[in-house]
Amino acid sequence: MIKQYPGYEQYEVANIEDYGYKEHRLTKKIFKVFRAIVIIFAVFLMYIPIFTIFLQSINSSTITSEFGQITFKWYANIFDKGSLLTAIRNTVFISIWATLISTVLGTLFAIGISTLERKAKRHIMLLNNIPLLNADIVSGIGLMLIFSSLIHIFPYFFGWRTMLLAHIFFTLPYVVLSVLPKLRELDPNLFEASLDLGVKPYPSLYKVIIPAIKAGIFSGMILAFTMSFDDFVISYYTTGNGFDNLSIWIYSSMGRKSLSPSVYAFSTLVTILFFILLIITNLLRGRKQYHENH
Amino acid sequence: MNKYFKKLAIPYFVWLYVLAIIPFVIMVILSFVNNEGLDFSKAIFTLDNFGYLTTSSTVIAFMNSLFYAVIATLTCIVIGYMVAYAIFRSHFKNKFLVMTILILPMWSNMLLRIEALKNIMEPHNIITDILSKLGIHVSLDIAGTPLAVIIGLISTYIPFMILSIYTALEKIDYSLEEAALDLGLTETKKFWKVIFPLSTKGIVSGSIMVFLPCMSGFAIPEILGQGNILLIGNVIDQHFRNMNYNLGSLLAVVILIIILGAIFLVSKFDKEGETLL
Amino acid sequence: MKTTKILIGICFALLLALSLVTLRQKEALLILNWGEYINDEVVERFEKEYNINVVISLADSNELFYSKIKSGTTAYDLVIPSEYMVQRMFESGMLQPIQKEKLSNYHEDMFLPGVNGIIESMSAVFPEYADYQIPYFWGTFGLMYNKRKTGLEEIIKEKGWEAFFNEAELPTGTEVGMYNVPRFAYAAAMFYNHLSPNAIPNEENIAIAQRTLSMRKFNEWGTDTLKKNIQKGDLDLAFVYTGDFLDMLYQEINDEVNPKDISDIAYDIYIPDETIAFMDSFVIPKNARHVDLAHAFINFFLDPQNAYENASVVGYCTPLVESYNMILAGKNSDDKYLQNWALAIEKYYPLPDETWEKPYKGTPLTNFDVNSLTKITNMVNNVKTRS
Repeated sequence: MIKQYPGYEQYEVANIEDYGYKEHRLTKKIFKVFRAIVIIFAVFLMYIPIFTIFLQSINSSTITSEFGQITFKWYANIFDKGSLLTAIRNTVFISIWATLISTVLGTLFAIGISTLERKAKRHIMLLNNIPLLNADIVSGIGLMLIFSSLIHIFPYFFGWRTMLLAHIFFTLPYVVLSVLPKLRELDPNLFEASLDLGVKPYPSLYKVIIPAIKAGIFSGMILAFTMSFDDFVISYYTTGNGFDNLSIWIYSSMGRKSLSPSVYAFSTLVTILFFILLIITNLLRGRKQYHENH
Repeated sequence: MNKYFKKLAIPYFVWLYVLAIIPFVIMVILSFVNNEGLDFSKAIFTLDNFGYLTTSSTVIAFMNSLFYAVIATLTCIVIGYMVAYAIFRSHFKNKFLVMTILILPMWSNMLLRIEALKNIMEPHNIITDILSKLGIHVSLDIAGTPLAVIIGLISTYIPFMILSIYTALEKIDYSLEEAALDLGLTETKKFWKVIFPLSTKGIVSGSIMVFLPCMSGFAIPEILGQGNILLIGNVIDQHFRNMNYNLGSLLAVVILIIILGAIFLVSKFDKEGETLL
Repeated sequence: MKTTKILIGICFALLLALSLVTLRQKEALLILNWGEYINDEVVERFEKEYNINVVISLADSNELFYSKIKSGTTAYDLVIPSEYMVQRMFESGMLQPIQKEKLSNYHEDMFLPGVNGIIESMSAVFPEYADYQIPYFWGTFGLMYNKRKTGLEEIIKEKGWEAFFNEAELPTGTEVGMYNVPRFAYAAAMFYNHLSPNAIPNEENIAIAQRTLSMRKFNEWGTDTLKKNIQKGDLDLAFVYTGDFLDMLYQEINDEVNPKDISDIAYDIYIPDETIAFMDSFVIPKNARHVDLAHAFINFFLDPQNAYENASVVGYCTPLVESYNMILAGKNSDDKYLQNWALAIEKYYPLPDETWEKPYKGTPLTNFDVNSLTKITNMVNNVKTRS
């Protein structure tokens, strides 16, 4: 309510309409409540699956619809289940290598692209967007078709080689798209200055440009890893010879007895791990800023 | 910088042509022949496959895909914007951290999350079991319905929308907001006249990131729809399972053309190529 | 700066170690199999004995088996398709004959009469059948139903297919599932119309099938999920493999915490006379890399003890006479579980007697060509998408 100050009774309390605005206090309140509900619903919707996964991971019963007792044996069991462990190992292997390779290549490609003229740049950016926007299944099939044509030369080509190539294929555009904006913001004189100081072009690239676009490279790398680690459709079509990644393993085992709760345990662990990593990177960044400010 | 590094882009051209364009050509060729798999020795040129495009199940699958994708995208826009804006406007010290925690579920395996959702949507599942032990009896039975698929699509792809809109909101120069307030706009008017238009890029790129996977995915409709709901991705997958590369490629080509059209439209809308990130 | 460099160094070393482990795996025997169709412990024993890794890839339909092998992306050493798919693979030149000399456990008369019966009838259309495969598991299809749904059991036993397709015959609210393989859906429709499941899918038969399948809306089209949902009670009736039903039954009679008797199980299966009979067999693709080891694997599973243990986790019927008898002998043991297992096998996979026309129940499926399969798939899609 309006504060009571001495002499207030003499004056009329103005309404919002007197100032030329519309009275919306009630609508605003309703809207705020509505918004709160929507946000809670959204968070609920996003978190209920991983919460369920967490519950399954501590469930002693293998029948997914019954809860037995709380147990942590599935966490210990992750390393027992041979095929799951292999699938996890394969996934980590492919994701890390694909991320590293596409980060390096992507950065170099982005630098090359930033130097092109308008027409060529638009041409290659259009091509670059294809793996990004193309339906997973179309990309996967396309890659499978073209790798299949190589089977005559390399009969056992399918496997980790094809999956790695496929992952590099769809992660490169993410890196390129993360790095390019940072390149655009770069001060063009930095490079010239470095050359003037006698440093050759490629070392200049390494010492001057790369550090300046570090943020872009880093975010591209994270994005690439995320997309690669969770990939299903493209990996499904481009794998072979027994090389399964985690998503394929889950898909083939879904609804069967062999979807051991260990995979739920693993997934919960990964989620917790990411959470911890996030907190740590934030704390570190906070500490760095603290040091910089003092 | 120009003259030294132009050559760096050339390998990328080659790579993209080989892995993106050539498969497209192969798929177009496959659409016009009738052969088995990739064995072209007995291939016959035919237009039969095109006749298949008009069968009712294909048309319905296409319509379904569009329908689900549009609904999911619109819902994501509304919900996602509210969430992103709420965080943006909040007083948390480290908003980015809060937002990343919010989209943390994005980092667990998508198939597991979908399977978990499916379990919840059936009457007998682990949560109802626990709740019933506590004396609360609720149950849902929506597995296999369109609602289930849409909820699944939203749950999976909304983090992309939130991230996208939040990034766009962050880029808005605060002085613009201050100017709007100084000029006498109310909070609401300021939102609709200043903030919302400036965040459109985020909405567009978020929509693309939600719409395309929704339209073409097959895992979510297959699992949550319990086999009843067919999206075009399911149909393509079926054909490839049955070794009918011809029909599968034909449908894939059609989807690809639609997507290329969308990319082209987007590039006209945003000349700098900044829309996607 | 130094600490970061050391950290990066450690990470890189770990990465290299990981890569070496991942890439330098022991030579592996690659097998393509159905889900939950083999006893992992028996496989582990094989791995130890022959010092080789066995990698089992999964697929849930014969058509997928075919396309995985035909596409050549993987050189499987062993595949376990159904009888009609063996025929199709042979006709496409994808198989190599099985050399019985290499199978020390193989001898005449080692198979149950039903198995021999199926081999005979397949050999009538496909003479080389006996040389290109070794039986693995066999059985029938049936209508699995939820006993908890009042009235359902009696109706199904009385009316079979009539009830399955006619919603009016079933108790209200019965949720029905169909197997999500177009070929089987087509067969089911044919059975309802008292036609052979192998009737050529010409226009007339396709129309009949589409009409039958459209008579009611199926709550679920699934493969392995059907049996699980009936167990949970989320589904009441489904057309599944008899082995699917037994898979769930075995789980419950073998539960560590609370093993049940077969009379306590909340679901059952009805096997109509008009149903699909099938046999899954080992075959060796032409481009297999470890032919001798593949034979060793087959031989390992022809050992009656191994087959017996395999059959304890797979709900399908073992083809070996000795193993079958070993299971039945469980009736006399004190172990509740063994008793229940014996009773189950006796009830659902009975030995033929004089009243039977042929030594096995049901009709094996024969091969259809790609065009026919596409027509059937289209028909099923049309059924699913009708409003």
